[in-house]
Amino acid sequence: MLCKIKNINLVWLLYVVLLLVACVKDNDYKIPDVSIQEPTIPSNKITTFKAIKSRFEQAKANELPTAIIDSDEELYIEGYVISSDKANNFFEELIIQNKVDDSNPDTDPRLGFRLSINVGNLSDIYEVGRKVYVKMSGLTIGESSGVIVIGKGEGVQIEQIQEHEYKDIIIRSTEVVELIPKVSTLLDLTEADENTLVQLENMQIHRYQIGSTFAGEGIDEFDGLRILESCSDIGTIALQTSTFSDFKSLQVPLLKGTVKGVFTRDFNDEQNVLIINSIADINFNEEVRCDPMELDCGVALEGGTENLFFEDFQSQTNNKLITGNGWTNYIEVGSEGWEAFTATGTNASLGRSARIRSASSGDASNIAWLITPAINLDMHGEVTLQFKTSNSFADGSQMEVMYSLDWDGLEEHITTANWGILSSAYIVKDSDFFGEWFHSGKVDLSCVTGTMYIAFKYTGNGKSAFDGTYELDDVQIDFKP
Amino acid sequence: MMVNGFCRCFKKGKSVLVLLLLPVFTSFLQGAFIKGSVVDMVSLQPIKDVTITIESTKQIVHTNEIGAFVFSGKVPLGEQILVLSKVGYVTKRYPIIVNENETVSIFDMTLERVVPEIEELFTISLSDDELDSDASESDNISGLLASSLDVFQRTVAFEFSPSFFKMRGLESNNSTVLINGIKMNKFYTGSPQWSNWGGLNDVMRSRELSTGLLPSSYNFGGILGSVNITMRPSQVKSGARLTYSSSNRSYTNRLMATYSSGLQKSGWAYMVSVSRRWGDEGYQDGTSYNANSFFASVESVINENHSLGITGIFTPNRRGKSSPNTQEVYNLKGTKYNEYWGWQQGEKRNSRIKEVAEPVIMLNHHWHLNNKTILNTNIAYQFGNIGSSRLDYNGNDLVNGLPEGGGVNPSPAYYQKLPSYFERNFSEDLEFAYGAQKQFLKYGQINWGHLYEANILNASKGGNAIYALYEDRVDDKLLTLNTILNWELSDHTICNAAFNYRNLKSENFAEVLDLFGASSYLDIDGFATNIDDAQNDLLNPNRVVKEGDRFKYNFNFLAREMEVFVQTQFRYTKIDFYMGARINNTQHQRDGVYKNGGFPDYSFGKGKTLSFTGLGVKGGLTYKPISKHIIDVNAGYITRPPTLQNTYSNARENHSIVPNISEEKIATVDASYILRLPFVKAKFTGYYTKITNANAISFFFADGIGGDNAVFVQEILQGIETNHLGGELGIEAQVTQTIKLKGVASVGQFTYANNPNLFLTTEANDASKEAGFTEGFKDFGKAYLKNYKLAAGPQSAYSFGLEYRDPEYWWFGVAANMFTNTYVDVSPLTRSSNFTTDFDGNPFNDYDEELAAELLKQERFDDYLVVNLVGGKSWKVGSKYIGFFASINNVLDKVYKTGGFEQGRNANFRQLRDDKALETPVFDSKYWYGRGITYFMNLYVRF
Repeated sequence: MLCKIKNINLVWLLYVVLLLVACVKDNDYKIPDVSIQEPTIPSNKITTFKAIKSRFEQAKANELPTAIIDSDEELYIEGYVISSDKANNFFEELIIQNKVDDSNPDTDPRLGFRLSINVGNLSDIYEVGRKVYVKMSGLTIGESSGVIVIGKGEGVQIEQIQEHEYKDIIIRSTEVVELIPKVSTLLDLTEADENTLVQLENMQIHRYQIGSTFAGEGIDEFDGLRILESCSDIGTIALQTSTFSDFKSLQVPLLKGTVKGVFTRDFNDEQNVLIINSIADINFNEEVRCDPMELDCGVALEGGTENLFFEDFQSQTNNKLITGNGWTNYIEVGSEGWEAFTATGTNASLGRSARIRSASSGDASNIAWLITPAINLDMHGEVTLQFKTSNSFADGSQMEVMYSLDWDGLEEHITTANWGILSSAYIVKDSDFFGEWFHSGKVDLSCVTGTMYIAFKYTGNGKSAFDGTYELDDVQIDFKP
Repeated sequence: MMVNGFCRCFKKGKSVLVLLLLPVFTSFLQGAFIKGSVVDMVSLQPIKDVTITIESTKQIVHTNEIGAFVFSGKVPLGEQILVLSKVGYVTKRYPIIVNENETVSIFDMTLERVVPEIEELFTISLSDDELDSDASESDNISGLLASSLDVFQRTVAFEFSPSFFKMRGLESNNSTVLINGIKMNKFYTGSPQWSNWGGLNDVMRSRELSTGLLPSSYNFGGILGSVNITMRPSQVKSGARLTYSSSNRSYTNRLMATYSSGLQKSGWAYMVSVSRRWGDEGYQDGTSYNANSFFASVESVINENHSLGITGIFTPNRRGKSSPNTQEVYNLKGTKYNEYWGWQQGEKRNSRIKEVAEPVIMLNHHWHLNNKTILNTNIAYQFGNIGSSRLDYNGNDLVNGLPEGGGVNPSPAYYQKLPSYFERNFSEDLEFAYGAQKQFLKYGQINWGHLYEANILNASKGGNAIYALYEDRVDDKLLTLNTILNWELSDHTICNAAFNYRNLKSENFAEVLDLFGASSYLDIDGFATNIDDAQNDLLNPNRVVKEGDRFKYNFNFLAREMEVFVQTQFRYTKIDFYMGARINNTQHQRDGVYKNGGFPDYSFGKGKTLSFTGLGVKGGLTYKPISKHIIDVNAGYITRPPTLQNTYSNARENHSIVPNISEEKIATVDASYILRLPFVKAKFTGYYTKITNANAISFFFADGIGGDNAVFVQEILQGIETNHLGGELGIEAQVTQTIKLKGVASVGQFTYANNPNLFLTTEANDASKEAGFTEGFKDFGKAYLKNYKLAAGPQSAYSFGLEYRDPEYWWFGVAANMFTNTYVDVSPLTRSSNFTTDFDGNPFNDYDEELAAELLKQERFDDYLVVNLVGGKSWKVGSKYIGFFASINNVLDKVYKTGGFEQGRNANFRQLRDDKALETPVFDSKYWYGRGITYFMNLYVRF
């Protein structure tokens, strides 16, 4: 028996020895050292963003689609990552700018580039604020969607930097900074601000889009565009959100406040847009919005049968301000007002029509009013308003149809009277075809009483992004006796 | 039962046996000169089918069911030699003296098994290996057949199994494995979990196999058969055994040590065994192997009538899995490539480790009510866990109450990283494809460093983990009670009956294993678009978990099974027959611990109790007019409850069950002709099995359904009918005393016999809604699978082998095996209306019937030939035995596909057409390749 017990002990002893010698490493891994070393980039090989941009401009001047940095040329730029694909609002791209803040020295002006890379989740290692060196050797500088893009290839279309090479091209520094965005108004943003981090203050989502999501609506393809409007100045900018973003289905914020993001152009290079990195970049916590008063009696099924006011501008004089027929034509700011014109071709007028435009006005701001005679709503039942509008390159300029029940008819009191929006009237949109005229619908005015004036108000300025043209015709007010 | 009955007889004394046997034989064997019986040297149980040869005259007889034989014809007088031989036993020669008019009676001659060596083979190539692998391809019953003595079944076990050959095209849940009479098949899959007793080969040598419908004394069994593994210390002779093995298949090293006391005078017997199998990688790259096994059993033979034993089995093991790959990947990286691992600190770290640690404790009572009746009562309790790890790359941070984040798929063989993707999308710029290829060739493994880097970076800003390693866990607590009655009603009649009760609580959940340097993970579904829908548990919204915490899903399966089995076996000289019946009732219930945000109304708490009743009847007949020609016919009709796995359509998230679920029905019949000539033994079997109303649920991360997100999808096929038709042939020829030739053929045709219903379930989010799911459920109508072949490994296989067994205790064998008719597993989705219809429900306007038929043609793999060599020698040194054994598999280093499946991603005509038109399709089928040349060596000492 003793012998047998020894045997068992032997078995166990053997086993213990076995455990000690025969270990298989298949769990309990230590955290590896992931710290990085500051790369040694020869400082005389580092160039400015301006110099890179000039290369592209040179190429353009030579009618080349892109500028290609020779792969033998050792050239770097240093910049800071300002975009993040963490919330999936950016995809396979890294936006870098050369400044930590809004400084803008002449020798090395504040600029930004988009790096196009075929890799997901770049934010895993290139987080916002990370300083990077971009090895420009062999890369291509071009333009895509209206902004400067750095990538690869020789064609017109910039190709992406690939997964097998991106870590050798975009080299991380150990430096991570707290970026200070450029605080700006919409009017001050220029092409030079593209691909840079900006902050807009006193902004809100346009009242028409309250209730919709960032990019989860049926009409949103690839991106959702929501109008951000300024409460301090005129002007709007689209907030562009990817339909793949984590917050695409979130409702846009109700309140107003500050928003920061990457300033850039939309996919078709048609308008300025702002793209946020995270939902946390929107800080709308100021309670009171800056919406105008609104009147919405809806659209009448049948119009009035008796005419109260009609204007087809046939009796006006081309290129002269609209006068007579009870109109008040008032230029609040700037040098442009509503005037008569005729045109043929694709962008034809309806015989003679009225229009306003601030293009080449040189004005810093244009605000102009065209106001109908007073309408007595107490004496006339079921009053309706109709008109037609068209536009040409409306861009950031705005046309609104407004009403007032307390204006006394005196020009000097126009800006002090209370004016509201007639929200059921359709006005041509920037995206509508410029050659066409759009009917407003039979705008019902009968849900209020008193004496009403109706104004066609234009807001724009001489800058190309805000100098659009609006055209107006066949203004008609009817009632049912 | 007869075997046990005899066992008892031996204890009382040999004379009883003789007395018992005499009336049986003298009655029909006139003029007998030599008679006797053969028993196993260790277990003292009778051995049937032993060939007894009188050496001088070459007269041959075989032992019968109770191990007895008689030479009834004329036998030579004087000193004679009886040669006792049987496959798996050491041939023995007994000298006898035959005198005229005298009957020579030599009972209880003993034979010793030589199977140990052979069993090593089984051990390495099967139970250690494919049997506990995860892929359904490897779902075979070879472990069951390894103990068989039939040449066909042995060939299936040893030669065919590495090719994932499935006998009769049937899943392993048609077989039953019992240990000490206790059913070990899992509730969840219905299949045995072989790794629950892996490495304990030394103590599992006593196996009782009933193949096909043939009666087992313990249970009704599946239609493939059942095996009872007896681990009773009192049945094992005293001794110790030490084994060392070396291999390059799955583990590198194995050490086993076993000691058994034998039945001592005190009435006690015990047995202990420990073993360890380990290796950093097997044949496939990065497949680590780390398994320990412990076994202890004590038995007390209280008196002649009672014996009580307690047994504990614990075999914790961890194995790194290997990936199926597309042909493109194999072409670039070779057939050993495995995408699941990556380098970390100089080690190959595998992301998919399967861990099984489920100890079993059992209490077994044997009660000899009288010398004809035994009642065996057992209690077993199994607990522990099974875990399968994988990488998660959807970690989020909560920003303003909304999840932001998610990472990229870390799989190095993700389709967007492979050259084919760039060839497809940038056909003008092949430099991209070239760059991707360079990258894949140079790295092509998981980049663990990147996962750490991203997590540490995000954590440094107060964020959660983006990447995580987690484990899908199943923690079972299974109680089994059963009692088995064996009653020898008469010399010709045996009654078996059993009552079984099993009760399971199975906790299913995911657990965080490693957060790669981050300390928290946000437990929500990052793909959901609404913060409520995104909750994995609405009762703990936006929960932040740490390593070791449960997350993602958490529910219990509660299941109960009651079964009654009765059977009668009749045995006569010229005819044996049996009838068996079983009724069982299974109840399933899901108990949700989490309230899933996608299914708030039917995910939490206990769901409905589902009750299924299965009936089984079977019968068979063996007709043996003369001992050389035997005819055997069996038939059965069985209905059986669906397994837990196939009952719930999306168990991780809700209570929903598979629509119209009910019991599966199996009808089966087989007939055999058995030839037993002195030098040639042969068996030919024809069979037909029809399975109806079966269900199959497969789980996968679908990339194509609902955007580009990897969505966890369950694909449910309901109401499947399959046909299994074929023939089996096994021939053994003892050419000389030392040389034996073996020939085996299995020709089968396994097909879908109908067009089953197809459903898909997934999360209930916007992405799935967009893809046409309602509440995460979509009905795809019929899947037109009729006449497609089942992916059941090679449907036909042939083997030719030679064995040389030298009297000087060395031997070798060679076998050439041919495998044909292996088919890819077809994707049901592409065979549904989904394939032909555009998004608006109308057929594609460019649908081309002929092209579609071409695209949907089932891929048949190349036929292949595998040659295996085995050999061994044993020595006796003093009182010790030393044995050496080696095998070389696939000597010709043949490269071949053993299986594969179509990716569900190209779900419609246009996608599939466009993809297949490419030189290298992006979403090609994924395959498993067989191993090239491999070796296994084994050395043991027995004392």
